[in-house]
Amino acid sequence: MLDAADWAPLALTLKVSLLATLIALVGGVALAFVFARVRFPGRDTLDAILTLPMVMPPTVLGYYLIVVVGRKGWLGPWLDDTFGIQLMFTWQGAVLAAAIVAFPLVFKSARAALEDVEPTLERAARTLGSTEPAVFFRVTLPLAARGTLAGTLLAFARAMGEFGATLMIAGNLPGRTQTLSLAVYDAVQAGDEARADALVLLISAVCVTILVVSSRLLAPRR
Amino acid sequence: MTKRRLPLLLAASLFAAGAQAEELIVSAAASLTNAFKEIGQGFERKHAGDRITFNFAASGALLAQIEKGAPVDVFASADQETMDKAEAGRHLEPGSRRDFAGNSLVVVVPRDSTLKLDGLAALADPEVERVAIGNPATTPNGRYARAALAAAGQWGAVEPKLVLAENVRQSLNYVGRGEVEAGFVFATDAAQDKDKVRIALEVPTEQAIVYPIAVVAGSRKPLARAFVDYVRSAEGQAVLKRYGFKSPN
Amino acid sequence: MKLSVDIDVRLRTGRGRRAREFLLRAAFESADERMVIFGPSGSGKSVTIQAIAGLMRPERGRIALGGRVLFDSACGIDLPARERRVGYLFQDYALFPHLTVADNAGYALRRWPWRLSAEGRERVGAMLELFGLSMLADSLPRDLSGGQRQRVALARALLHEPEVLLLDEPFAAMDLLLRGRMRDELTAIQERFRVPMVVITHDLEDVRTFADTLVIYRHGAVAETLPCKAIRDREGEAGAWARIQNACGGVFDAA
Repeated sequence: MLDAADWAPLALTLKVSLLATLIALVGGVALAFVFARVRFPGRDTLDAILTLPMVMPPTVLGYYLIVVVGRKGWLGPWLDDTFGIQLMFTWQGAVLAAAIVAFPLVFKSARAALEDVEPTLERAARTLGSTEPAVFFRVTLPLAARGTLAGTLLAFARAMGEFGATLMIAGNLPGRTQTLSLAVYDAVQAGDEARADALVLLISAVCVTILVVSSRLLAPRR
Repeated sequence: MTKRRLPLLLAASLFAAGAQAEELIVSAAASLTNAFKEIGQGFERKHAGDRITFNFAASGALLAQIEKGAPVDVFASADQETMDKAEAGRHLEPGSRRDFAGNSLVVVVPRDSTLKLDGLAALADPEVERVAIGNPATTPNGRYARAALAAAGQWGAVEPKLVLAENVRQSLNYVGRGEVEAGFVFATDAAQDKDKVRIALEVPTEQAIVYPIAVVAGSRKPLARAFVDYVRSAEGQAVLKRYGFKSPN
Repeated sequence: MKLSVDIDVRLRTGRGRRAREFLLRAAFESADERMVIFGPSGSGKSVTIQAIAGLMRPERGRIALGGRVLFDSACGIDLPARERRVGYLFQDYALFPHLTVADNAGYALRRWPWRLSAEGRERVGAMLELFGLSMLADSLPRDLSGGQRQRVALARALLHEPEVLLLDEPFAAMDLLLRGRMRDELTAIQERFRVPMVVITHDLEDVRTFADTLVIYRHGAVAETLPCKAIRDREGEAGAWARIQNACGGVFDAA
C-alpha cells in the first residue's frame, strides 16, 4: 500500500510545518507583545494587515509571494545574490508559505492572551525586583501561555494543510517540495486511488493525534 | 389583460428557447486552449442558440474527472495514451474516436536568455539550473519529454533539475516568467507566447504527437458528434493550422 | 528612616470629551515607622504610593527614602521600580495565579537563572512558618481565603527586604472581625521586622491603631499632617484620638 517513497511527503510535511510554526510562534508572540502593550498610530490598520493571510485565498497569497520572492520578483534576485537563498521550488519556499498562513493564528491568540494578563501582576513583579525581560518571561508569558498554545496548535494544523500558496511557490516536486496535501492531490489527479487512500489515512491519523494531544495539554488542571 | 399575459408569454418563450438550445461541455488538453476557443466561436455561429463550455487542463487530469463521472460531452487529449486509457475504461462512445491534429515537442527559453542549446545533452550543463516540464504522471507533454530525455540518455542528469508543472501551459508560464532556464512545451504553445519565450531546441519524439478527439460515453447529444465533425472539417482544421498545429497524419 | 515626598502629579483619565484631569500636590515627610495616609476615594492616595514605588512618574518633584533619592525631576533622577527596594501590597494582593504560595513568596529571591538557593529555600520556609502558611506552601492562590492571600502577599513583599512597605487599603475587602485580627497581625509584623510602613485607608480605626504620622488628603492635596506619636506621648491616647477625629472629621464633609 505505502512504500518508502510515500513516507517522504510525511517527513517533508512535518519538517516544513514544524519550522513554519516555530517561525510563526516567535514572530507572532513578539509582535503580539508589542501590539498588546504599545499604543501607536495606525495600530489597528497594521493589525488588520497582519491578519490578512488568514482570510485571503491561498492562491492570492501564493501570487503575492511569487511577485515578491520569484526569480524576477522584488526581493528574489537580491536574496539569491546576497545570501544564495532561493525560495521558488524549494522546501524553504514551502516553509515561507506555511509560516505566513500560520502567523495570524498565533498572533491573534497571543495578543488576546497577553491583553488578558492583569497589568497589576506585572507591576507587582517590578516592585519585587524583576527586570522587564524577567517580568515578561516569569509572569506575562506563563499567564498567556495557554491561549497562545491553543492558537499555535491551530497554526500547526493550518501549516500542515497548506496547499494553494505552497503549490504556487514551491511547486509540486516529489521528494523535494511535495507535502502530504500535494501528494494526495497528485494521486487523485493521476487516478492512483490506492495511494490516495493510504495518504489520506495517514494524514487523518496525524490530525487526530494532534487534536488528542492538544486537548490533553489544554485540559483545565484538576 | 395584456398585463397578466406578458409575464406568462415571457416565461413560455424562455422555456421554448431553452428546449431548443443545447449546451456542450468539452474537455480539451491545455495546449488546445486558444485554438479551441476560436473553434468554439465558429461552431456557435453555425449552431445559433447552442453554447459550448470548455474545460482546459492536463489530459490526465481531464480523464480523472471523466472517470469520476464529470458530465463531459467531448474529450480531446494531447496524446494517444490518455485516450487509450479512456477507451479501455469504456468512457468513450464507441466509434466516435478520431485523430484531428498533430504537434511537435520543443524546448523554449526566456526571450532574453543567452543560453545556447545544441541538443538535449546541453540541459545537463550547470548553467541550466531548472527545467520545466508537465508532470509526467498526468500530462502528455511530460511523458513525451521524459521519453525524449531517456532516449537521449539524459534523464538521470536532468531529472534533479526538473520543475513539474500542472500542465503544459504552466510549463510555458514558468519559462516566460524566468523562473526556470528552459522548459518543454509544444510548438503551438511556444507560438502563443512569442514575446516572452523563444524556441531553443526542437525535440524529435519516437512517436509522432497526434491528438485524438472523441465523444464521451453517456452523452446522448447529437451536437457532440457535430462538434467532433466540425473540428475535423476544413474550417476547424484551418483554425488549428493558424495556431501552428500540424495535420494528424 | 525618613521618607520625604514632594510631588506634583497630573493624571488624565478618559478620552476626548469625557477626559478628566486630576492634579495632585503632595508634600510630607516623616521619620516615623508607621505612616497612615487618610482621605476619601479619589483624593490621590493610591497615586502617591504608586509614585513612591516607581509605578508612576510624577510630573515634577522629589521622593527620597532614607539617604537615597528615588526620584528628582530637577536632577533627572528616576529609579526604576525594581531598584527602589520598596515593598507594595496591592489592594487585590496581585498574587501570581500560576505560582504556588511558596513560589509567590520566594519570587524576589530568584535572580537569573531563577533558581532558588538552599539559603533562599530556608528563608522562604521560615517566612511561611511565621505567617502560618507552611501547610499551604504548595497551594495555588485561587485555593486560598482572602486573609491567607494577604499574608502570602505580605510574606512576598517582606522577603524582598524592602526599605519601606506600602499598603493600599489592606483591610478594605474584609469584614470587621477579620479586619481587627489582621490589623493586630500587621502591627506585630511591623514591630518584628521594623520595616517602615505606609498604609492607605479611609477607615478611622486603622488610623487610631496604627498611625504614628497621619497624612490627611483632601481634594488632591495634603491638607494636614498630624504627628500622632508625638501627640500621644504628650496628651495620651484619648487626647490623640480626639485630635485625630477632629482633623479627619472634616474630610468627608467637604466633598
